Amino acid sequence: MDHDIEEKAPQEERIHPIGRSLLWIENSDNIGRMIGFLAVMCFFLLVGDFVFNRYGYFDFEETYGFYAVFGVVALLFITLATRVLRFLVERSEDYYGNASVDGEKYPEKGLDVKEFGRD
Amino acid sequence: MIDALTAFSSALVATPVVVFLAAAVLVALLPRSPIAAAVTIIAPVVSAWWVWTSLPGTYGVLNYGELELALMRNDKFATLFGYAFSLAAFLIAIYAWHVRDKVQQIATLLYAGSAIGAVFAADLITLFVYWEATALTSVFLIWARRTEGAYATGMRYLIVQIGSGVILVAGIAIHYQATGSIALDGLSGSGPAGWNIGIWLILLAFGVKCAFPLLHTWLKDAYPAATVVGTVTLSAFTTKMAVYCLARAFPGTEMLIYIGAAMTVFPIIFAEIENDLRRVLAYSLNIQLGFMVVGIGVGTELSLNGTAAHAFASVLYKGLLFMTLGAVLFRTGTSKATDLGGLYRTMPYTMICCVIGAASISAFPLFSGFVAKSLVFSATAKESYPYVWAVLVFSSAAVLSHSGIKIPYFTFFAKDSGKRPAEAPPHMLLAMGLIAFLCIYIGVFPDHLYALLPHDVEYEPYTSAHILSQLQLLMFAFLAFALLMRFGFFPAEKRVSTLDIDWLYRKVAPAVGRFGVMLTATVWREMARGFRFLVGQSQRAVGQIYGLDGRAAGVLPTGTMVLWLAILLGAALAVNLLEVR
Repeated sequence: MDHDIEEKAPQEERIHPIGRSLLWIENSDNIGRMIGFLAVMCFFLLVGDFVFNRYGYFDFEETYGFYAVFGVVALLFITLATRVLRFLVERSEDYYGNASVDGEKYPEKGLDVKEFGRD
Repeated sequence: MIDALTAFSSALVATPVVVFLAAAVLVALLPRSPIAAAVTIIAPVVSAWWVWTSLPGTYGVLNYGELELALMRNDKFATLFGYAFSLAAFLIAIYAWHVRDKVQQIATLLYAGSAIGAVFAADLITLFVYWEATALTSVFLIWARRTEGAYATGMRYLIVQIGSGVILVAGIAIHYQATGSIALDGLSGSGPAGWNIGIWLILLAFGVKCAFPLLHTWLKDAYPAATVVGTVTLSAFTTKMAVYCLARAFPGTEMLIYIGAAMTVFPIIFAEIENDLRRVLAYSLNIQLGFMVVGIGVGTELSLNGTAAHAFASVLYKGLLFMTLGAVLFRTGTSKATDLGGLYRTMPYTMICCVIGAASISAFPLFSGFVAKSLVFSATAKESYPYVWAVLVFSSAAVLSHSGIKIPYFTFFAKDSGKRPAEAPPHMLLAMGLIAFLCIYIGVFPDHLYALLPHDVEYEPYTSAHILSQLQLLMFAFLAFALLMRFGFFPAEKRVSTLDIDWLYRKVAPAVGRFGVMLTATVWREMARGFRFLVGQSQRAVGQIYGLDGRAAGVLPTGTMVLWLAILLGAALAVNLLEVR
C-alpha cells in the first residue's frame, strides 16, 4: 500500500491548521481554566441582575438569580432523569433486527469516506 | 374531458409547483450529469422568483360543480413559507451537488414542489392532494439508502403518512357533509365545542404530520434512516407544512398550547440517551415543533408571528445541523456519538458551521433562534400562561443540553475517536456556510425577518432584560453541564437503541398478535384432539359389540340359523292352522 510511508509520519502532520491551533483545548489544565472562565462569566451575569432592572412578565421571574438557578436546576434534573430512565428504555442496537437501520452500516455507495490529507 | 384538463393545467400554471414538475421531468430526461444537478439548483430559484412576483390574492380557481378549488392563494403568511421552502430546496440542492442518483433528485424536487403547493392551497381538497404527494415523494428519500432496514423503515413511514392523508380526507368529507364548506382558514371557528367529527379528524391528521406526542414516532424512526441528503430534505418540509396548516386552520385553539408544551418536554430524555446523533436531531426537531404549536395555540398576532418566524429560522438552523452531521456521515460512514469525537482536528469548517447551528437552536443572542423563539415566549407570557411559560424555559435549557452542546461536543470534541476524516467537500461547505451566514444575519438584523411575518407587530428582541435573562439561563446551564462532564456525572454515550412509543406497535403488538395466533392454534389443535379421542372411543365401543370379535358376532351362525328356521316354520304352520280353523 502506498499509505504505508505516510503511516509513519507523525500524527500531528495530519491535522488541519485550524484544528492544530485548537489542540490546547484537550489539555486537562486548560479545560479547568475554561470552566473557571465560564464560572467568572456566570458570576458577572449574576451581578447584572443587580445592575439592570431585569423586568419580566411574571413576578417570580424578577427574583434575583431566577434564570441562573433555573438553568442549573434544569440541567441537573435532566441529567438525573436521564441516568434513571435510561435503564428503562435502553436496548441493544440490534433490538429491532433487520427492520431498523440502528444495527446496520450506512452503505458505502452513498458515501465518500476519505481520510484527511490522503487524496 | 379536454376542457377539464385545460382548466386544470391553466390553474396549475398559476402556482410555483409547475416549476418543480418541469424540473423533475427535465432531470428524468437528462443524463446523470452536473447539468441535472444544476437543474435542481435553478428550480428553487425560479420558484422563489415566482413567489416574489406573485400578486396577493386568490387565483388558479377550478370549478367542479358546487366545489370551488383554488390552487394559488397568496398572502403574507403563504409567501413567507413559500420563501422558506424555496430557500431550503435551493440550499439542499447545493448540498446535494455530488448526488447522481436520479431517484433522490426527482423525489427531492417533487417533494419540495408538493410542500410549496400545500402552502398555497386555499381549500382542503387541494391541500389533501399535496398532503399525500409529500408522503409519496418523500419516502423515496428513505428507500434511496437501499438497505433492508431502510426499506422496512420507509414502509412504516409510508403507512403513517398515508394514514394521515386518509384521516384527512375522511375529515374533509364529514366536514363538507355537515357544513358544505371546504375552506382551510379558520376551520376551528369559535372553538372545539362547536366542532363536528370532521374537524377533529382534520386536527388529528395535521397532528400526525406535526408529530404530536404519541403520534411522533415516525419522525424519529424515519429521519435518521434516510440518505445523507435525504435526512436534510425531510427535516425541512413535512413538519413545517403541518405547522403552517395548523396555524391556518386552528389559530387560538387552547388545547394546542398544552399539546405543544408536552411536545417540548416529551422527547428530551430520548434526545439525551440516543446514540445516533441524527436521531437526536430528529427528537430535537420535535421539540422545536412544540414551540411552534404553542404559538399557534396562543393565537395572538404576536404568537402567530412567533410561530412563522420560528418555522423559518428552524428550517435553516435545523437544516444546518442535519447538514453538518450529514457531512460527518459522508466522510466517516457513521453518525453515532460512540464512534465520533475529536473531529475538529480535520473538519474545522464543518465544526464551525455546527457550532453556529447549535448556538442558533439554543437561542444565544445574535443568532436566529433568539430572535425567533422570543416572540412565542413573550406571547405566552403576555397571555398569562405561567406554567406553560416555565415549561418552555425549561425545555430551552434542555435544547441547549442535547442540541447546543451534545451534538457539537460529541462529534467534534470529547474523546479523540482516532478518526481523521477529510473536510466536507466544497459544495457541502458552501451550503452550510450560506446557512450559517443566514443564521447570524437573521440574529443580528431581525427586522428583515420580521418584515416578512404575516402580522404587523412591533417587537424588539434585544432589550437588556431579555438578553441578560437568556444569557443567564444558557450560561449557567452550560456551566452545570461542564461541571457534570468534568466530574463524570454526565451519562456516557452507549451503543444502544432507545425504546419509544413505537415499541408498542413494533414489538408489543406483533407479540400480542403472535400470542393470539398461538392461542387460537393451540385451542384448535386440542379441540380437534379431544374430538378425535371421543370419536375413537365411541368407535371402539361400537366395535366391541358389533366388531368381528364383538359380542354380537360371538354366536355361531349355522346352528342358530337352523333353529330360527325351525321357529319360523313352526310359526307359519301355527298361523296356517289357525287360518283353516
